[in-house]
Amino acid sequence: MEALVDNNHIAANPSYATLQQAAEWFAMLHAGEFDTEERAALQAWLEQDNAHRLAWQQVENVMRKFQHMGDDAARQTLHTLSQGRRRVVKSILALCLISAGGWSIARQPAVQQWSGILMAQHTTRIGERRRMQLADGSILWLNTASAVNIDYSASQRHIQLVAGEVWVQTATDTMQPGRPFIVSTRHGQLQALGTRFNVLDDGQRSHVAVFEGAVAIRLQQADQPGLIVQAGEQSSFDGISIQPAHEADPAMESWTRGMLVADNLPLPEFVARLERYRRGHLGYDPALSHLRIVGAFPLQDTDRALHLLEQTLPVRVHRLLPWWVTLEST
Amino acid sequence: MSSGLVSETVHALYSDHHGWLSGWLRRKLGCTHQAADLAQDVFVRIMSSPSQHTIREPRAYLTHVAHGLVVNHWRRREVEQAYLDALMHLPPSMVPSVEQRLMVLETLFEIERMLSGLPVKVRQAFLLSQMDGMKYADIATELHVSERMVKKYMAQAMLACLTLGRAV
Repeated sequence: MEALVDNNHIAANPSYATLQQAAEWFAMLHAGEFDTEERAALQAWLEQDNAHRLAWQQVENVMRKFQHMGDDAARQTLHTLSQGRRRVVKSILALCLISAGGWSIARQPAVQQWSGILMAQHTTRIGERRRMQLADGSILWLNTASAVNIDYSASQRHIQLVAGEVWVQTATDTMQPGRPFIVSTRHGQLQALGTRFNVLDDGQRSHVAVFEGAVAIRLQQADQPGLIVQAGEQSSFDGISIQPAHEADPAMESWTRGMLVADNLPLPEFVARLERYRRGHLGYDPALSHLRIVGAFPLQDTDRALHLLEQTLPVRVHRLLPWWVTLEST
Repeated sequence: MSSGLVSETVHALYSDHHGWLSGWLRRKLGCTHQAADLAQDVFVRIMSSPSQHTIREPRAYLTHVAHGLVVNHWRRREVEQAYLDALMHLPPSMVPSVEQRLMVLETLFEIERMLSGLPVKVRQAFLLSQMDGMKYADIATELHVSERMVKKYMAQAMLACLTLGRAV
């Protein structure tokens, strides 16, 4: 028994020189210059020694690891870790081009959005918020993980919301006559009528909340009727239809002051909102779904926000990994 | 543990230096929870290593083991971060399930560990070939080196993967 274990131990560790040879065979194999003669040579090398076969098995094990990393995110991660930022963007774009050709049509809008975010003029990372002042004095706040393009031309002031959320306070145009102020999302267009408002694209729908003045919604499909949203109201739309206006949610503006204002918010909705500002996973026990949350929570420190939750509700924050957090009942 | 001597040594080490080690880790990591977790890992590592009864300078030994774990910890964080960033750019329908993500992460840690000591171009050549399926000629153009060099890089990277964890 002792001897057998020992044999296995030796067999599992081919010598350095053997591994070196195996690595060279691997490099040659991938060069694509493998003709029948070389194939025979590799075969002969493998048959020569048990250690050679074991070394080659280890080569195949390494190769298998990479084959199992099929998804784009994993590929991207390894590229990010091994090369500079600029190179990464280039390779993501290359991936987009490859993918756009290979994927089904249903996925194309997502691919476009993906490349759109990368090419957008102004972007924020997760947890970041940024204030911008535009040429005419209008003010934009860009929320977490968002992207916009700003295009001021002779005929209009156009903000394209590529992803995420933007809050706008329009100024009187410096040019006369004043150019229309337009915010577009992939679902439609919003024309500001002297105003302060917020636009959020949650991936499925665009939500607009108006706090001053009014905003006109025009859908992507131009033959559908539009809607004018007045101050104190909010509405949402996808590419096809508009939801009737209802009372504006103060949370649609409070984020510009770094607060998540929850006014009797169901816990699942609260988690979904907070998760936008955090890296990693934030989950909850379904048994907590009935809880409702009232209060103002700091967005720049979401861990503190979770801690506040622990103090006021029968909830315990469980950290499985630094970025894997779940809310559990106490 | 198998031997009474071993447990006694570790026990003494633990009771004499655990507090001090936690403090050291807290300063390194800036986080009490993580420091506590890593301090535990240090003792687990020592208990499972074969030579703990020869410890002469316990604190030097502890910081040596802890330092390795801290480096490892940061590397894992970096991998997690990069993976999350990449996931963020995926359309929701394509985001893998939780189990898949954890499995991918484990493989990513492993690959990162295998390639971490290599020069940038060697790593790039290897990834472009294995992950993106690029031909040597294209990799050569991409990295501004000869095809012959790419082949050398490939062998070098594979050898690093094969010999990981072995004494040099």
